[in-house]
Amino acid sequence: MKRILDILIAFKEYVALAAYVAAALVLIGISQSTDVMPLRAFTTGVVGVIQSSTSWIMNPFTLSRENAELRQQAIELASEVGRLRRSKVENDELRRLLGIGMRPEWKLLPAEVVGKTTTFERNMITLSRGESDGVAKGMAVVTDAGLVGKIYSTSAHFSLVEMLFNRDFRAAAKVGRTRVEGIVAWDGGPTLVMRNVPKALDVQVGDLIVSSEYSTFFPAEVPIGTVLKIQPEPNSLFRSVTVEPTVNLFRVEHVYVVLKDINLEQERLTLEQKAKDDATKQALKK
Amino acid sequence: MNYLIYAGVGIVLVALQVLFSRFLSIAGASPDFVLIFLVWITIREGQFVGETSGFALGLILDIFSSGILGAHTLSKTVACFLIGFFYDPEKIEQHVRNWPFLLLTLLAAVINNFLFYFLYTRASEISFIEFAFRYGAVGALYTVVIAILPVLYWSRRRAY
Repeated sequence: MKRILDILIAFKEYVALAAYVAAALVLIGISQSTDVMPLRAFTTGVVGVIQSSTSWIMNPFTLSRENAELRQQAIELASEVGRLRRSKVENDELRRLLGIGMRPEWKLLPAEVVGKTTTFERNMITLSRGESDGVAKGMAVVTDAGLVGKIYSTSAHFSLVEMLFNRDFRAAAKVGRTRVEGIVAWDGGPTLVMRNVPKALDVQVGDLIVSSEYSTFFPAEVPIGTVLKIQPEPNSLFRSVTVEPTVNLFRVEHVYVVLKDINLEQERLTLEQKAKDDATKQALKK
Repeated sequence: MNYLIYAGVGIVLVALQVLFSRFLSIAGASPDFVLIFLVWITIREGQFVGETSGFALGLILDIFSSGILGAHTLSKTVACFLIGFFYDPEKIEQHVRNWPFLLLTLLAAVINNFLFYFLYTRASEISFIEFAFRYGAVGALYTVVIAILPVLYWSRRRAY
C-alpha cells in the first residue's frame, strides 16, 4: 500500500493530470444536460446583477451614433407600418375568404440589454427580464429588424440570450421570396450559413431569409438575414448560401422576448427530420 | 497563505474576464487574463500547482461564462501541465521578469486556444481550422501583448 502511495506521489503530476482531464471530460459530457440548469440559472442571476450595475459604461461611446441610426430607422418604420397595416387587412380578409386559419398573435415582452459579451467564443446578451416576467428557456428574442436569438438560461430577474452567432444556434428557415427551406446556422464568422440548398431551386443574392413555420422556438416570418453570397458546393448538386443577419447583433440595446408556450419536442422532431434529409442529400452527393 | 492569495487574485481575474473582456475585444478576440496568471503561477510553483490552478480557475471560468462546461477546465489544465515542463526552481525570477515569460505565455495561449476551439467547434457548422486561426491565433497574440505589462512592471520593480 505504501509502495503504491509512493508511486502516486512520485508521479503526482501525471496522476493529477489524468484525474483533471477525466473530470473535465465528464463535465463536457453533461454540459447540455438539464442537471446543470440550476447552476446556469444561478450564474445568470449573479452575472446579471453585476452587469446591470455596469451596463451604462458602454453607452456614452455608442449613444450618439445609435441615436442617429434610430431616428433614421423610425422614419423608415413609420412609412412601413402604414403599408403593413393595409397589407394585414387585405391578408386577413383573403385568409378568411380562403378558409385558412389566422396565424397566432405573439405576445411580446420588451427587455433591456444589461450585459453583452461579444467575443466570438461567447456571443451572449443578458436581459433585464427573468422568470418573474414569464421568460423561459427557449423563447425567441427579436427586435423590429429581426431575430436576435433565443433564451439560454433564466434567473428570477435576468435571462441570458444565445445570439445567432453561437455554435449551438440552428433555425428552420426559408427564403422569403421563393419559400425554399433550409436550416440556418452560424459559420464561425460575421455571417450565417444555409447549406445543402439544391442548385435547381431559386435563391438570389439579396433575398430575405425568414424563420419557417416549422420552428416552434422562433415565430414564423421573422427576418433572419439577407442572402449575401451563393457558393456552389464542390462536386455536388447543392449550394451554400451565406446570410448576413438583419440585426446588428453587436449594437443591440433593446429587444422583445416572444412569450409563448414552446413545444420543444416538435422542434426536436423538425430538426431531426431536417438532419435526416441533409444526410440523405449528402449520401446522394457521394 | 500564498495559495489563498492566488485563489483571491484568480477569482478577481475570472470576474474581469467574464464581465469586462468585451471592452478590450478586437475583432472578436480578447486577451486571456486568467491564462497569464496561470503561466505565472506555473513558473513560480511548478507543474502540479500550475495544473491544479488551471483546473480550478478553468472550472470557475466555465461556470460563469455559460459556455461548454469543462472546455476551459480541460484546455487550461493541459496548457499549465505542458508549461510546467519549463519550471526551473533556480531560474524563477529570470523567467518571470524577462522574455521567457512572454514566450511561455504564447505557448500556453496557443495550446489553450487550439484545444478550447477544438472542443468549441465540435458538432457545429464552424470550421475548426478557420476558427482556430481566425480567433485562436489573434487571441494568443493579444494575450502576449497584454502579458508585456506585468513583465515590464516586474522588471522595473527589480531595477529600483
